[in-house]
Amino acid sequence: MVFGMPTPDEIVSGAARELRSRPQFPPGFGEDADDDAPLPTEPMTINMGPSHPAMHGTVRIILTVDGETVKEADVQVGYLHRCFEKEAEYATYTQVFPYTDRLNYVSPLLNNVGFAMAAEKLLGISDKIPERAQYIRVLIGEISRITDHLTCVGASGMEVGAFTPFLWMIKCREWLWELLEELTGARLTHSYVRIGGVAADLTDNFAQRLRDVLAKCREAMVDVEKLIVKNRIFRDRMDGVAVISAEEAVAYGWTGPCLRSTGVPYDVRKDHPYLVYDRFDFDVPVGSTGDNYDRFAVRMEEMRQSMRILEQALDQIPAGPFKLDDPRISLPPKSQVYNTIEGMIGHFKQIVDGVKIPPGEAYSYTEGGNGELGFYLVSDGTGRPYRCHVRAPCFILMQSVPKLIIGAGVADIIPTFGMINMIGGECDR
Amino acid sequence: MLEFLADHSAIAALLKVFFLLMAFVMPLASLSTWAERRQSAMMQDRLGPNRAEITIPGLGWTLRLWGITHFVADALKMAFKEDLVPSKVDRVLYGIAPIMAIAPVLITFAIVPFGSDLCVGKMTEIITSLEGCRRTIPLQVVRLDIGMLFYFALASLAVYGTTLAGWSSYNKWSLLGGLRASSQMMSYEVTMGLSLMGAFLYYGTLEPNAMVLAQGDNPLNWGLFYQPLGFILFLTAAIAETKRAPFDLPEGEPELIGYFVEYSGMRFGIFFLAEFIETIFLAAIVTTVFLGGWHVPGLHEDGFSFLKLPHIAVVLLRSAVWGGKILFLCWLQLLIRWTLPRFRPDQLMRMGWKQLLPLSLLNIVLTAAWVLWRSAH
Amino acid sequence: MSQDLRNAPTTKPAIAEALRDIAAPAAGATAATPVAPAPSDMVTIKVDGREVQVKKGTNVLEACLQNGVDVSYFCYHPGLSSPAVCRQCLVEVVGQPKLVPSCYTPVADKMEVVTNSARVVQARQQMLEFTLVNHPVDCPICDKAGECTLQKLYDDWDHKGSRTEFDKVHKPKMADIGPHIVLDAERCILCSRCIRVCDEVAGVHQLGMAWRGDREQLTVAPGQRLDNPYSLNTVDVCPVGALTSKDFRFTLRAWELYTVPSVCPGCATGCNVEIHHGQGEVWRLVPRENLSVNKYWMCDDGRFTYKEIRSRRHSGARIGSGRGLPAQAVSVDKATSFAAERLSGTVQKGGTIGLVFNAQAENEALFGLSQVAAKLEAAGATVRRYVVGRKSHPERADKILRHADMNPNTRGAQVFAGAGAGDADALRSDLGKGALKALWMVGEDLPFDDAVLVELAPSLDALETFVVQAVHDSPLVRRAHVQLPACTWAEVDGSFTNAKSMVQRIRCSVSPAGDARSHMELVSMIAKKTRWVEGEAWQKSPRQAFLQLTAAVQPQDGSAGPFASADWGRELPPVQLRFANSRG
Ligand code: SF4
Ligand code: SF4
Ligand code: FES
Repeated sequence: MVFGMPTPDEIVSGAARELRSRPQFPPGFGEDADDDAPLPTEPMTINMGPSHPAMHGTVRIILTVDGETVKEADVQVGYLHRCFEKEAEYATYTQVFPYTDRLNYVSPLLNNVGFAMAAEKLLGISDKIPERAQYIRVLIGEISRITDHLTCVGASGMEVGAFTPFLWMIKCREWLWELLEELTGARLTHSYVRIGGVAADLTDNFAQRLRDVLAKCREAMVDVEKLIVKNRIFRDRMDGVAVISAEEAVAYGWTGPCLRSTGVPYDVRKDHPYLVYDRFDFDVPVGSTGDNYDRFAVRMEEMRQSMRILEQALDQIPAGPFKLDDPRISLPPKSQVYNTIEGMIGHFKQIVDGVKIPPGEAYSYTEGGNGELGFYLVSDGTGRPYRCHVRAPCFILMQSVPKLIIGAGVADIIPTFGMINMIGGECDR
Repeated sequence: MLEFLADHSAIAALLKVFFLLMAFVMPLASLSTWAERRQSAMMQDRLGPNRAEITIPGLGWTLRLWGITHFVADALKMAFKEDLVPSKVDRVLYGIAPIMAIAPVLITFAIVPFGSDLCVGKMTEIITSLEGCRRTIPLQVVRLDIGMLFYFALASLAVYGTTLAGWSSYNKWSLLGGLRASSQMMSYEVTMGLSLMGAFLYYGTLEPNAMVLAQGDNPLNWGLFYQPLGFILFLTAAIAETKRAPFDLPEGEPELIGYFVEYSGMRFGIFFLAEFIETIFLAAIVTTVFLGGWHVPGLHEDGFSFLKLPHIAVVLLRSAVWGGKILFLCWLQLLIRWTLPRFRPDQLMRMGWKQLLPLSLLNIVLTAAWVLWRSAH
Repeated sequence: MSQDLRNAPTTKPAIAEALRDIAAPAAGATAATPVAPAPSDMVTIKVDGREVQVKKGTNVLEACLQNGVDVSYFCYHPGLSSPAVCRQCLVEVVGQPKLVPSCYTPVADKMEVVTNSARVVQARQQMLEFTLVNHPVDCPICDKAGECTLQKLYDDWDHKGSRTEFDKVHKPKMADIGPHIVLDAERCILCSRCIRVCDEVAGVHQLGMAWRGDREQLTVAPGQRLDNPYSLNTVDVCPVGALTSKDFRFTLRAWELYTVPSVCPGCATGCNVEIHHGQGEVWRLVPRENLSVNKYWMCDDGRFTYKEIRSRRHSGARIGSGRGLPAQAVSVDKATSFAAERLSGTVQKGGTIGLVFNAQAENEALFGLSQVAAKLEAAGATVRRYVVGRKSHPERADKILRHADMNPNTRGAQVFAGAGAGDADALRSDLGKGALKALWMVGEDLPFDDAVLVELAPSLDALETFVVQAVHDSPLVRRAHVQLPACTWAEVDGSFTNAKSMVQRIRCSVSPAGDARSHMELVSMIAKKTRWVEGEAWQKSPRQAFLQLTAAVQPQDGSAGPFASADWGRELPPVQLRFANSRG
């Protein structure tokens, strides 16, 4: 016997069980007589993640592979579930901001903005937000979009083995984060937006420093493109891999850069302009084939468009207050808090009870890093959401991953997964 | 003493092995682990490892040396790490695999000439040729007629190390890695062998030192210029043999983690080191076959035309330049490794069989025709 | 951000409901279902354009509150008279030229009340502004912060900045006005609720107002102390942090506390309380409205009963040879097995077993014990039952709330021990006579002085088997062969029957100390291990026990028995005080 059948004692692990269910070999197999008999093959079930370097620690794919070809894929999300939505019900609206930072944690400010806008919609003050605050939101939002795409694009290079561009992009991201750190006080978890505006005004010289950083980032992006966009190996790995048609993408509910890669020019900023997006001149890049390379290229181009928006916003931003002047929504100034009982009580109640929002429900959606980021809020009149739901774009993207990877090679899973840009914090919430 | 060595070639061989492996290859391999990290850091705008330092006891001096001593720290770390053996592995094969991976490369160094022959007795004299030498010590561990074939034979053994490591680890990921390794190495071995055929025809020998001699000290006569296609094909195939990027599929860090995923501590360290030794060996072979081996441009047996040198100086200079060529090639490999993305298995196979193989056959045909034409005239 | 926010409910539905449950009369209270008033008692008035029907004689403020219209108020309290001193409750009554204080204006038929006109809102805001003029900026160090009515009203209605430029008037801070209470006269908003509590509830005039105008302040008469036995109720009714309890001051902030409705274990009255707990410990008890028991009040002694939860606990099982000799710490499981072995041994030998029904234990445990007794008697064993508890203090009894009997569940113990049960003296004499071979005490309390206990010691030591389920450690407990750790009332779900035979729910608030188990669980474990009672409903959960016991004690003739309207009630989610908005 060539392959000994295992004794029952050996049958402990899954692999051993597989051995046992091995199909019977053709008669005479392993005895030298019949060399022409076809070699029996069988698919292998292999568990990718959640503890796997490419699965970002939060996704598990149970693969059935035939050699290196994926035959079946069972994608399981939820390993990073943190009860965001439930937690939000036990926090005041303002206290939810730090939680939103942890949704898509490479573009926290976009989530901040999205949540603030939902709360403002429910309060009915969307049109009262001071202009300067709206411009600041656009600025930080677009910076965050750039950091988001830098991470995604860089990481996808890394995932096909090109480590160097990744670090170049991370370097750019770091420059941007340094700027945001100076502005918000935190490098990653900014919690900078507030209902009715933002927490603080722009720092001195922000405009000039941002312009400098953007110039440097442009150079770095050119370098990256030189290094990988024309690289045969990179193109071979990305072109025509994991193709999805526009119809299918729409049917799956795709949004964001992934949807645009299939040629559908849907961008919330253009189609349902919010904040002051209708005042900027920018394009919505679209792809043609909906493969990994298109998703890569759309993101690259989107960064450039974001830079355009940033520059226009810097030119247009007016002076003025950076948050709504309403004692029910914005905290009173510290001089009042420390010196008058009125300010003290106002501050105290806003911190302990939260900003009270009249009963009702609202869905507000913005263009997040990965697509349409929606917040659905129900208020019962207290300072805490009665229900808070997030339409997490990459959660919806994830449902199509099996479709994309079945039939591809094991090695294709990684770049595909990378270009979907699943962010555990957002997908699993 | 040199006379004694010239008479007892076995002892000489031992000494040479010692010199070559302990004084050159191993330190260089260890250093290249640091160099790789440092060089990649420079390419990527990082600092890389620059902190390890040695404090000389008593004197209180601290040597930092750009962090070179990191490799010592790394080695110590690996040596003292827990040697974790998963419970279900095939213990025998699991234990043998790292040895199988490192031994063949170390052995094949035996055929690499790392300097010209030493003429015992005329060390300080200026000699024009080795003709008159009674006793010589070749700076090569063994001089085998089958030369390069010995290398091919042993190189194909190295595949067992990786394949067995993947198979015996009782882990599906390492099994995939092992399979990738075996298919990749076997396929590229073919190209590797065939791409050198042209050089064999051209030099008319399989013996490395003879090849070096045939190239001479005129760089224009080096194999690189006569076998440009062979050079590129060989370099590509040989990098594939070393399993480094863009051919690091068996490792495939984001996908498979590699055939050695279940290895830890020094066992992993051996695989790691073997990879770097392979890069050095690849550099040595390329130097020998295509870059004039230990030849220094313009350096004859008696020194440069403008500056006569004693024999010993000539030999030392040649060995040093040989080392320099190897360093250059190692650097080149690191550069490639940190620039290119990784192939996909099917693309790799396609390239190996459908592009490199026909090209290397073409190379043979062209070279053969040319050799025939040359001998006819 | 305008009117609808103001009229919005200020708590989440679930929490509001839970809070309602807390506020509602305790489960099982014999409060007769209010008889629907005859139509002639009702008047129809219009509140903010909405027609509502209210009882004659209610005042406008109550009428509004009953119909979910929020009218701010400070000095009105449902349990006290209305002097209309704060003017915070001003509303417009159509036809009257001036705004009227709603707490002082009785409803009249066809009256039209407006509570949300600009005039009324402005009046409210102005009253708040007045109140705040001299209010210190104390919230961060004020114990009331987070549950302060002044904060709530400012947040609900005002939100205007300060307009004064003058120094605030200073008054005494940290005035020690009574054994349990500290006064901060600056925070006082002069609502006089505390004065009325003393006058109308405790029946003593200990507090009063002195001075006039912005110097007016609350004070005790010189040489007097605020030391009546109901003094801490002033802290509860105080809408601000002027009166604070020395006991609770500077322990936890109000918003860190969770609240659980329960019943005070201090005496047989069974005042309804809220247990305020946080960080795994109970921090204070405050009265909970139950018009048929304690109205809105409780006595000071009752408030301090929570301290027993923390002190002198017997928190790990011990077995030994009794007689006060060192015993061995074991698991509860092992200890109950040991107890079961010894008890059944004694019973098999035909020895008389004494079962002690302690009036400190909850109904469920005592019911379980009664079931065991019944089984044993049915099997022919000689069983004697005793009802004991803590010593009475007739001197403390008054006509208000305080009861001489210091046990919360004497009625329950009597019901379950049955007619033939002896009292503590019977136990003492039986022990003295050596009539008992085994003694199983559910609860360690005995109404005896130390001298009596010393005298009893030899007869206890003579027992063949002595099992005690004890909440607190004591020399008596250390004489037992098996010393089982039991939970306090705050650590179990169950019920007490008060002196008026009302069965009231107690609820678990904090986790038991150490290894402690509820009396019921211990009884059930021993009953199972002796194989006397197995697999009965009461052994499964307190709720099952409650359902079984209410059915069991129902009189056969169909008349309403002592447990007639007993109800287990709902499970309550933990309610954080943070979201209760204000108290007092
Ligand atoms: S009484 Fe209320 S408003 Fe006054 S200091 Fe205390 S918490 Fe603040
Ligand atoms: S101490 Fe409190 S209850 Fe008493 S009058 Fe002042 S505010 Fe009112
Ligand atoms: S509540 Fe009516 S005057 Fe104070």
